[in-house]
Amino acid sequence: MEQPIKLQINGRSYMLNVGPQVTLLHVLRDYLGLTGTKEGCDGGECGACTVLCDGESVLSCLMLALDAQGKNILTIEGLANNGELDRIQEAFVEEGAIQCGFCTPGMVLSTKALLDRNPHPTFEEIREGISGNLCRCTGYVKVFGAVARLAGTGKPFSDK
Amino acid sequence: MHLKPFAYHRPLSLAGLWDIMDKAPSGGFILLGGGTDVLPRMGQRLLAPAALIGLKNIAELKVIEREGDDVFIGAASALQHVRESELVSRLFPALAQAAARVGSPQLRHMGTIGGNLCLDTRCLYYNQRQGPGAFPRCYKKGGDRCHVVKGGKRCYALFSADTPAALLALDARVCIGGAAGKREAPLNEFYRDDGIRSRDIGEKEIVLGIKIPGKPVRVSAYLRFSTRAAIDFPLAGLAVSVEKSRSGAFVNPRVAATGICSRPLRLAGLETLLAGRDVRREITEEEWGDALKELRPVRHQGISPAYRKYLFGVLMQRARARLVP
Repeated sequence: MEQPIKLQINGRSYMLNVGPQVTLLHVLRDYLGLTGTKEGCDGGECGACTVLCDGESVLSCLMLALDAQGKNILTIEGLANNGELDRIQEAFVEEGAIQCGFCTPGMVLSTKALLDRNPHPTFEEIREGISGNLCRCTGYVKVFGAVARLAGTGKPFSDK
Repeated sequence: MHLKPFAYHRPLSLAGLWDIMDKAPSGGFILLGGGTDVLPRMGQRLLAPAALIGLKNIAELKVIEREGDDVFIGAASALQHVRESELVSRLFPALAQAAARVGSPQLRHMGTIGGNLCLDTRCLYYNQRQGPGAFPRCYKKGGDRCHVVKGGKRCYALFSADTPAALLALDARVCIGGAAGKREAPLNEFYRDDGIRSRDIGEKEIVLGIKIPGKPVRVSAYLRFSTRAAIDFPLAGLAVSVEKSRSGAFVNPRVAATGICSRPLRLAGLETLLAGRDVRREITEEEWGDALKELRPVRHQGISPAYRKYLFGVLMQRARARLVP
């Protein structure tokens, strides 16, 4: 049965009616048109649907919309400010850490969750931080490069 | 994920929870911790509950605190919080290591320790969408056969959660509650080697949390092997704990495994091998081979039972090295 809920997404409040079976991913994409959050495996494995919930990375495909009430949800749309890219997005662009782009929103948000808590992660911590996001294009090297650049750890893999 | 409609209850206290469970028809609901195990199964149409009862808003279930010498961890504590708890990493490294190995960061932020304790068993023939031309129904799907063990009289689905192995090795007790009151049981008695009902818990009871003894002080470690770290369940997981001693010997060793049968299992053979032995002495392949002779893993995954047995031996060798002071 549908019920009214109030969600806080990217600093804006949204009022809508949803049934308990509706996931946050479904609300973001199909109710609110925030299609930056991707639907990949839709089963909790690929990380394409990653959003931040009170600063922690979660999978919006496995979160019921009702459970997102009272939380601060951040999606990829909430990152850029007035058309200016966030520094994580900048780093991904500059390092060429994007190919098809499908995994990128999740990658960027996992990176944000990692760096907000730990601004200077080690390589191991970077690997773990983005381990929940699968990419079928890049082979991850450039993604590591982008995160390492932000972390100030230098290039994780030498060019020689 | 497109789920079939259900009623969703989100009680704010245990009293509220008992009330909802009391009124719910028997078998009509599923408890929801982080949702990372239940919701994918609902998406695969393996489960279709009339109602879900969310446990995330019950503050009593989210504590991690000392109770005398023991430490109590509430069932709804997120795995990431268990891992990051100073108390847990200081006293129970095996548990912190096991919690750190569950899935990806996202899954650890969502998934709970209670959910990991109650993780449903898995099987190649069960955890997939049912379609035309699928295998005949197995026991776990309400059928009359087991595809893994031909001629098997029960379900052999595999228990593969990480933290229960660590908790078994740490002599943990499980706290169970219901409207009628609370009870405690050794974790070892909570599990049964049955792929369908692998836990000894009533329909209207819940796991409130886990209690781990802080005394005697134990040194512990958890290691696992999986194809890919973040998105695969362990092919083999092994926890070892031993009482701290001046002599450097394994005193009262506990060895527990996951990914071996339908429950997390204490490996008596390895415990006997370790007892009284010097921690610094390496374990040879011949020795663990002997100690694991009784072990009969069945073919659950893409790898052979013999290789899985080998993995447990190797993990034992590595775990020993981790216990050397």
